[in-house]
Amino acid sequence: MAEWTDPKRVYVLVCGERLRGDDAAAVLAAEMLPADALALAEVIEVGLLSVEALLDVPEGVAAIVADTAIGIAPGEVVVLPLENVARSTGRGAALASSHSLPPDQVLALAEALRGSLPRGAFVGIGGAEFGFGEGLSAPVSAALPAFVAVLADEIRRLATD
Amino acid sequence: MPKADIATGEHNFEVVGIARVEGEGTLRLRISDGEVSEARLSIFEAPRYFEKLVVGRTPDEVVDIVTRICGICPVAYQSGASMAFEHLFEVEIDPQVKALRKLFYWGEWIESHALHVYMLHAPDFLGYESAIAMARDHKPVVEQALRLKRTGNDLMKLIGGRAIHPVSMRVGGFSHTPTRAQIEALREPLTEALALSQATLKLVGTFKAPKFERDPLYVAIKHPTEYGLSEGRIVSNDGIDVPLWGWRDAFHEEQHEGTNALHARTTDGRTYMLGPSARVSLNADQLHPLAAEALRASGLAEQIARNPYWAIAARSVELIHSSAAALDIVDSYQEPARPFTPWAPRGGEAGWGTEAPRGICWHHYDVDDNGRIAAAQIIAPTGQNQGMIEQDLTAFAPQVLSLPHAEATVRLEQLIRSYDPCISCATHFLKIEIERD
Repeated sequence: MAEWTDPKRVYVLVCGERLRGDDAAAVLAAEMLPADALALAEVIEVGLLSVEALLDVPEGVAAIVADTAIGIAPGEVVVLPLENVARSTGRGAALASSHSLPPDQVLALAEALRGSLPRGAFVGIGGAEFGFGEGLSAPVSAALPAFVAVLADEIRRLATD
Repeated sequence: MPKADIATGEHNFEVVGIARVEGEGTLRLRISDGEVSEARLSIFEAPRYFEKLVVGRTPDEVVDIVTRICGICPVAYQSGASMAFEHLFEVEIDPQVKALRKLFYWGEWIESHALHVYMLHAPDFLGYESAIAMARDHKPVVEQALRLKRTGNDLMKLIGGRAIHPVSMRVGGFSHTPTRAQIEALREPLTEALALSQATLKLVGTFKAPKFERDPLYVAIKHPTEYGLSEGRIVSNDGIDVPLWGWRDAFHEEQHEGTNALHARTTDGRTYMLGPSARVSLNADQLHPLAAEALRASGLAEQIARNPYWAIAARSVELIHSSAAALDIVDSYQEPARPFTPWAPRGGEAGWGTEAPRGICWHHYDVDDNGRIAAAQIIAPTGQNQGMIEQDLTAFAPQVLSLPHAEATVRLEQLIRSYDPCISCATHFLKIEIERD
């Protein structure tokens, strides 16, 4: 893992695809972050969360995984400790692809390889539409400012913890 | 869930969720008197209509659209489409651009094969339910996989603009080509990837595979002087020999009940096998010398040719080949004078096939006189392998029926995973149902 000299910083791993409806919510939210939160964060658009991205989070640096989620109401914003998401393996999203692991399994694999996960959180917003094309569904669009605010608050909290 | 009616001797098995395959489907086995009477791999992920999405589009738009068919083999889709149009429009490609395209493709092979060998298939051989469980006991092995995968991804990102759904390929070449210095920077990671690939084959050589032998019809691209990738002819081990645009001369697609993926057969109705085992068996003499030597030293050539479980070794051989071939391109790369050759569209039929990591991916487009797509046919490798997977399962299943249900399921899943099926490409979670009458 890389050296990191600014302990205040937080890695924000932004997941999603701009061209798949609500899957773009975290990408759009990251672009709307206020300057003070951005100054504390290293924002990295990862598309799909990968083990490599988590292994690249320097020791001692916090991480936020921001993504659209299913299984919660569209537009609902949630904050979950990363460890809790990793512990949900087998109870959360099913493995539907050989090409990529679902986030809970990515986190669990990163934990196995790192020895521990970075301190941090999953910040998610419930999505409704994931079809081809740009544009958020009405409930996600309406909740985007709240998603941005929660993401910014989490960056500030982790940067000063 | 296994169900058994002891009084009548009828048994029904249903296994939900084959892990570590791409997409959503079900395998149903019907067994009567200890014999498999039916093996059906049903793919019921919704069709994705890419062949319709491209109608009315221009060739360059098609190249951008088809990359979205698959997150792990986008280069195959882009290459097949680009090269089909270039063949129709008689576009001469700069030799350095051609070399760059091969390098791009080797990146996809490295990334895809590393993922499959280590994360998807090795857990079967080492007795783990997943790569996560394997990582707890074999951390260096998983780290090795991630380093290999990263090299492939970095290579694709450099040339394609991004690793998943790259954006730089276009008809005639690329929209942008890397500098000599950027390509030179790949030397160190590729040198490590080559060493890791050689270690991978040695590791795989220690695995024990289930005993299962057959002599399939193998189909792959063969080139006169190099390991078949994107130029040459489509050949088989029994005499099929057609040009890359002539897939329809030797094969056809057909609809099968209960699946959204079209199967492919030879024109005389036979199933066939594509992918690493087919390629290594048909083109072993054209492997990079380092890969050929590693294959010889492994002593696994015969197993690769006859036992589908040893596809993991074929992939490992191809990891060596693609890393070594990529390094050769790094050695010789010179920046092309221009990233792409200009071209003019014309009406006609455009067809081409290239070797995706899982096997030949074939494209055909009818182009109207305005240079727009009138019709399209895109044939993914998994649809072509589907019949062979079912045939292998039918032949292999009796060996495992006496085993406890869970163990039998693992062996059957492992066989399916040998093909690295990409169900999403084919149309798509796999569910296994075994019915014993």
